[in-house]
Amino acid sequence: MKNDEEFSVWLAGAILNAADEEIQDEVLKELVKSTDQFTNLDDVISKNRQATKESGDFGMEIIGSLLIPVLIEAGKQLWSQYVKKLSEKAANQLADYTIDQMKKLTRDILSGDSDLISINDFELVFRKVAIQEGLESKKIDSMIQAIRSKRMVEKLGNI
Amino acid sequence: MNAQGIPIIEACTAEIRIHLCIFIIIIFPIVVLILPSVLLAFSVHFLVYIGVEFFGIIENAENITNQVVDENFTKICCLFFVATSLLLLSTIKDSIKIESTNRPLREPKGIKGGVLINTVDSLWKDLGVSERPSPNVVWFVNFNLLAHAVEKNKRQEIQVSSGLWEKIAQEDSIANVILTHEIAHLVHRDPLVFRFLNACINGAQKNIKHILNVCIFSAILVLIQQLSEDIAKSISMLNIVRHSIAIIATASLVLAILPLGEIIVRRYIGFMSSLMEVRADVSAGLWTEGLDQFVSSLKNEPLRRLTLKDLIHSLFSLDMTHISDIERLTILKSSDRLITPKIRYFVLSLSLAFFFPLNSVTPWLASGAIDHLIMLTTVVAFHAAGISMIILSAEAVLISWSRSFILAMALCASEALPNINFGEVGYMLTNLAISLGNSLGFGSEPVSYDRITQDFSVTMNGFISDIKESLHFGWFIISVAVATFALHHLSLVSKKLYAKNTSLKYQKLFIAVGIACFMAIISGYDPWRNYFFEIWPLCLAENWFLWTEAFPWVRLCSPSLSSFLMLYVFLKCSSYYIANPKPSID
Repeated sequence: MKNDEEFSVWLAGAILNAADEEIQDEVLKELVKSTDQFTNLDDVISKNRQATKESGDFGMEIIGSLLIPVLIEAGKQLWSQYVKKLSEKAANQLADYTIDQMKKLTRDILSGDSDLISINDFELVFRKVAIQEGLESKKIDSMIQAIRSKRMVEKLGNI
Repeated sequence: MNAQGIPIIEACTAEIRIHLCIFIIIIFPIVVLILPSVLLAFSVHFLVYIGVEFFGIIENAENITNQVVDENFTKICCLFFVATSLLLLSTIKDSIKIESTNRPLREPKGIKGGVLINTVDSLWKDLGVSERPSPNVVWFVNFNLLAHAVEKNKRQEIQVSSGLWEKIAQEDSIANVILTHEIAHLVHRDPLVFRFLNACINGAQKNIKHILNVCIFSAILVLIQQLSEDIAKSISMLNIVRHSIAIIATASLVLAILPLGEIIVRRYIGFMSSLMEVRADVSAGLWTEGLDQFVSSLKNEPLRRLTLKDLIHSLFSLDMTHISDIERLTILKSSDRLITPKIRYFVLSLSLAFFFPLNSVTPWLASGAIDHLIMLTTVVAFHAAGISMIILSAEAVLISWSRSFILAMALCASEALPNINFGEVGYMLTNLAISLGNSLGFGSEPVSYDRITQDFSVTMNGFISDIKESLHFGWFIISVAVATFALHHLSLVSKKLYAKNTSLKYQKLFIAVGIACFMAIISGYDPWRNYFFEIWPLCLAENWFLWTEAFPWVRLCSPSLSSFLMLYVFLKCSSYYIANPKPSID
């Protein structure tokens, strides 16, 4: 898995745990298991967004919650933002950022200890992706609440 | 469940069972076993002939082929029939064991897992439609609301997607709709039928593929043999090319019955699968809060608009499993359409049977009797389904005049089809193909553009004349009017009959449907393709045609009319016996 994907998975797992999204957390674990050297996370998510029709299925294309694709995409966009901000800070010097560095940065942001990116910016990224994907506003609000909760910081510390 | 729901579900079940029986007993064996066996026997004829010539016994090739193959043609066909049947059964048996889906399935765990299991369990018990234990529940990853019902090792299972699991945990009404649909599949034991039908498709495709390969190989040998003869005789390049095109064209027309057979099988199975899905919807709706509520719950979801592609898929796809979403809801909202055959989706099956004689083989087999059998069987299935559905559902729903009219038109038009022999077009194409290789052309005249257009014109005129004669032209509307009356009153009489006396309900149904089928068969009689009409009581067809010579339009509406009259007689007898009960022995 690429770094940004691994980071996205970590962040998504923490948010889902903080929000008590038991089912989505199970799904995320299964998605990660499905990725290997031949299949990347994007392909796995893409494949599971397709509805198949076989005899014995219900057969109607009704889309369910796209929370995980939203979280993964938001995570990737956050990673890009972090890299950009960190590069600007380091006077555009190219550097490899490790996942552990990004995780620490995220913890700092959510506990209010970072001046690089605010929690509002964090929330903005998530909202933008969620609205694009058509996530219900009720679900968006509950996720934001989870992201801003103390529990989230605890979960980030545990993972 | 509302007691009114039972007759509607019975009607849907009747439609499915009738088509299943006709398909398994007649259509599938003919197109997958009998006709391919005949083609294999033909291939043997050519292989023996070419083999004998190859070994230099040219002057005896024809005699030897005649003795070895032609005189034992029937036995060779039977031998191939047995061999292909065994191969097919083996493939079907292996295919049935294979899981239709390779999704990784997981047992639900945790609190939400418990909610999932308990929801399915309580729904199963609340519906109270089966004494079997509640099904096992597993889940798989997918963001859509999907569910799948399976039955393996006598244990029933519902597989739900993670998207659906989420909705179940939220107690969303759509979750109940989907779960009850799957429960309906399990109650009706549909998963077993689906597995069997999918295995039939698999078996048919493999059988036909192998047989096609053998036949193509024979055709290639025939082509090579002809080429070597032409080269040996120093024939001109133009004639060599013409002979080759003739062989390829003729071989294509001969072998066309194999892919046509596969297409017929796939479409018929797709049609039956979609009927089972409609029945699951109907059952789910009627077992819960009614069809209106069922449809409302579905309409609240963001369904895709019906596109032309969806419509084409429903009408023409060979891999159809479900009718499109919007069409499905339209059917569920219309009691008329629920209690009568799904005509527009059956049109392709009727058409395929009609166009089947467009090959070089079957029009010659028993003078086209097999073609006629396939067409007639499909038409009889249509009539049987229509009549039985109206009778069974009458306790709950009466068919409207408008639907009676539409169904009458469809039934009368279909009844005309067995009298129209599309084999004439196949005959024309075959002779044109052969005449390409014969420098003298077709018959004794050379092939020319004028000759081809004349043949085409004569064939088409004959074909159009057949159509006009079979539909009895202006009298067709009288047939439709009589059939409309008969179908509408069949519904009324059935309701009255079963309101008075429900004893022997199914026996009366069988008699009424039986007589309709018999009338459909003898009205579909074709004197040029009457091989199977020599046995009694089908031999009465000739008499029937003589009796109705002055008013041939009666033949088109006779199945509907006869079933109505039969039930009317039962009603009158029933009324008489109720009014005049037998005195007791005391």
